[in-house]
Amino acid sequence: MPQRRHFLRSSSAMIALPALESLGFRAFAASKPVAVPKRAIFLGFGWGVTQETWFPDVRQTGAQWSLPEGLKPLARHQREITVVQGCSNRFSNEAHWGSTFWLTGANRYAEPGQSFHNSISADQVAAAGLGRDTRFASLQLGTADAANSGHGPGLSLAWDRRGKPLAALDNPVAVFHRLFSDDQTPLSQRQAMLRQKRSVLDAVSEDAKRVQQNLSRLDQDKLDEYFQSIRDIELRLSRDEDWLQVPKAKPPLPQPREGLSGREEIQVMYDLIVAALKTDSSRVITYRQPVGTLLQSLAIKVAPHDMSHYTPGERTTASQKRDQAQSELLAGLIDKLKASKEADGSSLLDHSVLAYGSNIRTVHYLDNCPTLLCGGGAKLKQGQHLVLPKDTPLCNVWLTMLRGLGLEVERHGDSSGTLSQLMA
Amino acid sequence: MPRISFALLVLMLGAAGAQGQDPHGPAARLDPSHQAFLRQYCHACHNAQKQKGKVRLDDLSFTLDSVERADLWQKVLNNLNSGEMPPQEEPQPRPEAKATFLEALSQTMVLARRHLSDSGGRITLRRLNQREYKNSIRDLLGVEVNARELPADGGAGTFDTVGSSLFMSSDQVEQYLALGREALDNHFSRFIGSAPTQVTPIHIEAEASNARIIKGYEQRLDERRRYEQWTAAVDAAAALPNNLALAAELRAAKPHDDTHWYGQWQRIKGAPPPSQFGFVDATRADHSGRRDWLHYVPHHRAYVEHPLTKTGTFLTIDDAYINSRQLFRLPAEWPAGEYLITLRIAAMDGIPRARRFVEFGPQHDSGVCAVASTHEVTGTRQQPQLLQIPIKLQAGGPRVFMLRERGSHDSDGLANRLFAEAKQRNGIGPEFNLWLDWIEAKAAATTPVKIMRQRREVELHANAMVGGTYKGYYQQGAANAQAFLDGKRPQKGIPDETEARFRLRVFEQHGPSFDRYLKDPLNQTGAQLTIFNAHTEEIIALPPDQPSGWLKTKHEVEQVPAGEYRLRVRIAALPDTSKSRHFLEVGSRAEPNQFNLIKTFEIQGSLQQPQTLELTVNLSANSPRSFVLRERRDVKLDNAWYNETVKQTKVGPPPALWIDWVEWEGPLPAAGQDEVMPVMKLAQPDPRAILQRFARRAFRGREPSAAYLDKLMLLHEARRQAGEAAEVAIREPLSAVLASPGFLYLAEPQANLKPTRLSGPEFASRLSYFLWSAPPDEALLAADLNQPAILEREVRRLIASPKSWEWVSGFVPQWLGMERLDFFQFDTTLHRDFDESTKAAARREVYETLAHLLRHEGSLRHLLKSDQIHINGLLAQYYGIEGISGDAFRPVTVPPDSPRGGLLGMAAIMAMGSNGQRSSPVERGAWVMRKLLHQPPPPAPPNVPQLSRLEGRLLSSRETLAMHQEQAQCAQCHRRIDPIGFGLENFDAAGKWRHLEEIDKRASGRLTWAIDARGQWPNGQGFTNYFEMRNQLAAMPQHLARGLAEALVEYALGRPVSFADQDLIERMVESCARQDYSLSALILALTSSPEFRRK
Repeated sequence: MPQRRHFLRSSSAMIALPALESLGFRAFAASKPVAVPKRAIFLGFGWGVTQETWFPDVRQTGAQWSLPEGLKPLARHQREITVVQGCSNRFSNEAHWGSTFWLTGANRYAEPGQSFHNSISADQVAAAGLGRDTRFASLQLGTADAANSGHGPGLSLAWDRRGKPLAALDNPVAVFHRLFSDDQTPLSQRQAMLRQKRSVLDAVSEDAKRVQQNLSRLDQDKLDEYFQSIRDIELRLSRDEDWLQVPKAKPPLPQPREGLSGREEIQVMYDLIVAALKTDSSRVITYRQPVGTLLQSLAIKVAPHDMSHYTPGERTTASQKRDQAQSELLAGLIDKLKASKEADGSSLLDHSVLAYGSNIRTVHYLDNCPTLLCGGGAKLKQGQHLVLPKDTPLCNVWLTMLRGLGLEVERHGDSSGTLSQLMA
Repeated sequence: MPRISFALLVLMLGAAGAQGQDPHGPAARLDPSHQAFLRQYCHACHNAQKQKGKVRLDDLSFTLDSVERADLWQKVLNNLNSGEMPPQEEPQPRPEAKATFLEALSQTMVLARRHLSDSGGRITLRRLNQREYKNSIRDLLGVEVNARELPADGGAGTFDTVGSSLFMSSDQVEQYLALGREALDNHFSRFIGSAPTQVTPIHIEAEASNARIIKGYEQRLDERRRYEQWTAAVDAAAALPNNLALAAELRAAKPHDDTHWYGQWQRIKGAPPPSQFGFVDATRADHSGRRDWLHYVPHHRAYVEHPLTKTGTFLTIDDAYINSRQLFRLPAEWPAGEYLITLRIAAMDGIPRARRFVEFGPQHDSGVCAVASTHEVTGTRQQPQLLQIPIKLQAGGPRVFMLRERGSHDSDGLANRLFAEAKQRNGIGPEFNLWLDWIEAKAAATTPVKIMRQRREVELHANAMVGGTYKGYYQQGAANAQAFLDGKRPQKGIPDETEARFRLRVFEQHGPSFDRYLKDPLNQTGAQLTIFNAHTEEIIALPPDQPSGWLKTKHEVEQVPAGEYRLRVRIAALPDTSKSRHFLEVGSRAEPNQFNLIKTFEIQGSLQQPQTLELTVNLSANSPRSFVLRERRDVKLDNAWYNETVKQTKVGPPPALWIDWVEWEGPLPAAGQDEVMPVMKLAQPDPRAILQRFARRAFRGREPSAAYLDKLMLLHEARRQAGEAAEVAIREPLSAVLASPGFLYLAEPQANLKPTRLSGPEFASRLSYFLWSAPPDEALLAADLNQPAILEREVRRLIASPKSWEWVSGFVPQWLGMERLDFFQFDTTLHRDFDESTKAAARREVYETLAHLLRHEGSLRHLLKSDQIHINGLLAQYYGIEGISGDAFRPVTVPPDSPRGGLLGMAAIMAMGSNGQRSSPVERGAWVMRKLLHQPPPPAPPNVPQLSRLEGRLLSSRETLAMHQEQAQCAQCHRRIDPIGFGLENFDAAGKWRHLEEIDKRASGRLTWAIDARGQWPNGQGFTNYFEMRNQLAAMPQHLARGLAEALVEYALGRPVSFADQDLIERMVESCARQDYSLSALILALTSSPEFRRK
């Protein structure tokens, strides 16, 4: 791709400019209109919501609906958010897995002989299309508190095209350094290091060939994960090579403190999401949020699982406080997405699509998954309350969104089609 | 289409089953009796003609043998569970009938899922999990890596050894490369090259930190002075005539409220601003000049004026200006390795025992403290103790450490509350308690301590004892008594006739037993154990303990250090005695006449061929040093038997056991102290040989390929050309080895892709990763494991090794589902002393118990009921058991009426069955069904309607749970789960024993009720209380054994248990049952099975 290389090299000199404007400038420099890039953000919160106070009244649909208590903090953004009711992943049976199949819609038992199966998640489909021109094709963010937050198996919200879990960065400081810390070594040395890395990969692949001999088909598949990992690193190295002369973006925020958890952790991760998008470091981001430590930071003593089984009284209060806090945090994120301007004066939010939800509605309910969409990036209707027929595949939402992002996707998970009601 | 009758279907399936040998075993099948339920409530709509919702159920097979069929049944289950089917307008099943059907279907689904997801007993190639990776690096390089940097081993509810759920990703490979390099750099700096960095011990006087505290105190005094000046000035201005009216008005608004009054200074004309007195504003002035002065300063003053703060510090609670944590820093240049921290510390008199514990741990750069260990302080003001804490420093790891009072900082509010309560009590603040004199740190001795061995020929001491007692007390006593009776003159020791007659009687009764002992020629070469007189026990005493006569034996040391010791005894069973008496008990003794059983041996040696028994014991600094050997006894019965025998034969029962000698050896090298084999020598030529040798070790005995070595050499040469020294350049290819599949995967290739036996190194790896979560050592790789005797010896060696602690701490928590212990913070207002330290000790109790069973051939019965528990001082205090102090866990015998003893009596297990606030009979009942009864209830079903009828009412647990019985969807499982949990209601959420439960809800009031622990088992057998429940449970160890057997197979083979394993599991349980449900027997049955060595 000579053109892209050229493009990158020509832009490297001005990368220190505030990044979004520089994108416009790049377009100008290349004297070719470059569309403002599209972005996708997926935020998953495990244990579901308080259904009585989180979902809008089903009788108020379309653009005229009033915000329920749990979404009140989002009032200033009501015109940008769309709440979709009625969707579910029909194969989901695990009452404590709020994220494992949320973006994939897979059937755990689809593969005879295996106790666990998953398929590609919507964000990775998006990354395959949107992630080509950024330093990171996609970013997976997570939390050290995952086990306690009702997410179920997995390492992040993301699953690759073979249905294997993708690892997450689960500490804001690590995210910060991944995005913004530059390697200070001179270029020639870094080039040598890349070569060296390739030789290392070459050597370990040689041993993999030895191990591969006489393996059963099942084991071959397993070892294939290793080969695939090596190929992925090679791809990443090529990408690194492309980006070798481009310094990392200047961080638009200071390095976060160590040891953040709960509410503060989510807030800082949201800031990092905005920073990553603003600097165009990545265009597809998932975040598997903490719930357990969120409760602790709100001084809620109820255990997260118990909260999800809210009975009247303390647990319900806890559950509602959680909804409030999560909505407040989300509202803050949307504020920042709105405030970040593209070169043409439009906002980051105008070109992004954000999905916010969980595979668990509440308690052990896996139907009517809470789904909130926001932003203009995928040409979805904004400011709506849609009540779809019961058990509409959640993957129809993902499919509609992916197509809206301009990606040629035939179907996703168990999708049965796109949702015209959702398309602007 | 006519419906195939069920009988025909079964027939067809039967034929198919007989024909092929289905490796999956019988399919999951719903009992045909449930056909009636479907016919009555479903078929009317879901039949061939109507097929409502495109679902047809009339031809749905009751055999769930395919994914599609299981999915359809799952839908049936889901719809019944959610109450959507049958539709409201249709006839509804009776709740009981619905529950029965749901129960059967749920169970069948569990079976079907297991069946369908069963990969036919094949083991998937698997990578090392985090624990195994860490241990493998440790054994290979002698350094610790931070394996937590690797992504979590996310399993789908399986063990962390199950290959199919251990994934690999590019991030991970890169982390392996980075961690491997770090470990190698560490290895080179510690084991290769120039002399290691000199570590000069450091000594820190604690009172050095008092300067800061005194300065803070003076600052507070100064603030108070300035506050007084300012307020006096405000008061003076208010007293001016033009302010009088306003002042009166302000004072009347909130009388006697200084905060309010001085807060209004701006309105008072002429009043000076607080800034003039050095305060930012009035609020700040009020806080430091008044509020803190009243609240904190009395405590601060008491600290500064306390005589003991001249020579040391107190660890205080709350007030951050004093000493809520004592920090100290170790030199940054100290290399990674093992170090020893010594504290001189004391607890003050009259302080409750719960406060005599100190927490120790690192403080990270972020200021976050982690408690690494908790220690009981036994030193007193008069006699402070030296407390030793061994630590491991990691390269780049924290160098700042803290000490603080246990539990005082577990949650944000707790320290405040403790302070406020004390203030209420004494007007000052928490009593000063833990006093610290100084801290020392030095490198731990790297040269292993000298191993000592001491053998004692027992006859010397035994004959002296028996002979002395006989001659002195019995014989001479009888002679004197006779003389007294003959002459009626007082004799030595015979003051009167009563004594004289008594002496004659006991001589007649017991004398012959002594006489026989002394005349027996066997006493020339050893000692005989008798059940009563004359010689009931032998003792192995490690210094400083000594049996009498010890002084005649040469002893090398006054006191043996803590560590592992091996005890040996050469012993024989005597001819013509009953086989039932050929058992030797070994126990420890802390006080005279005490006996804490450690292990019982069956004696097979004879006088012609005595046997040598071995037992490894772990000694802590203050655990008992005496070990008692005796014939298996029941003291009460033995007494009667002895007396009976004397009556009949004039002499006691003949001895059944003979001991030649006893010995002890130790301290044995500890885990991780295996000799580290340096990767290379400095200036060693031939890098290829270095790489080959290292790869072979890293690959656990497999040979690397030549092509691979070529490529490693290329890496090496490239680094050399880049100018790196030989011993640096080689680290690049070495770290590649540590990211290669040969190291990362436990591969077991099959030559012709057919099941075969494991090769020697593969077998060794499977064993060592099973029992150690670590690679095989040289001895295991060299052993001929095809010989059953050698295999058994090696398994026993692996079990006896301290490395088998990995099995305990790795397998046990996963088996018992203990991750739940970390799922919530305990509410410290309700369960104050269940703090982090107690939680850690409670977790450790489970591990220590299992470790004890594992290493001493203990019976699984002890997990159900036991009179022996394993606790340390902290837990003893928690459980209210007297007389146990110190940090070491040790076996302690509890009386039969103690609720402790067995898993259900452990605080950790009970705490898991709670939500941190209240006990949960549901969690506990389900846990008992899963782990102890081997009847796992189906997982919580999705989409069951929430019960909300009793909203807002204050109900006891039993009343709340009674609601489960109202709805069939709930009742199907809860009618079996909840009644078990009720039996455990005498344990509160934190595992403490209680008779009353109380809930106090601000909104709805308070309710107290007496615990009613009646309940029943799923089979209908009832119990009236916990003790009865425990007894009934103790009578059914087979369920626990089966569940454990399945877990072991899954963990050891790294794959889910399949139907094909039923035979293996059957054999394991049988073999285990034959040996009184011994845990090690269960493990040996697995390791010696053909399945274990097959791939």
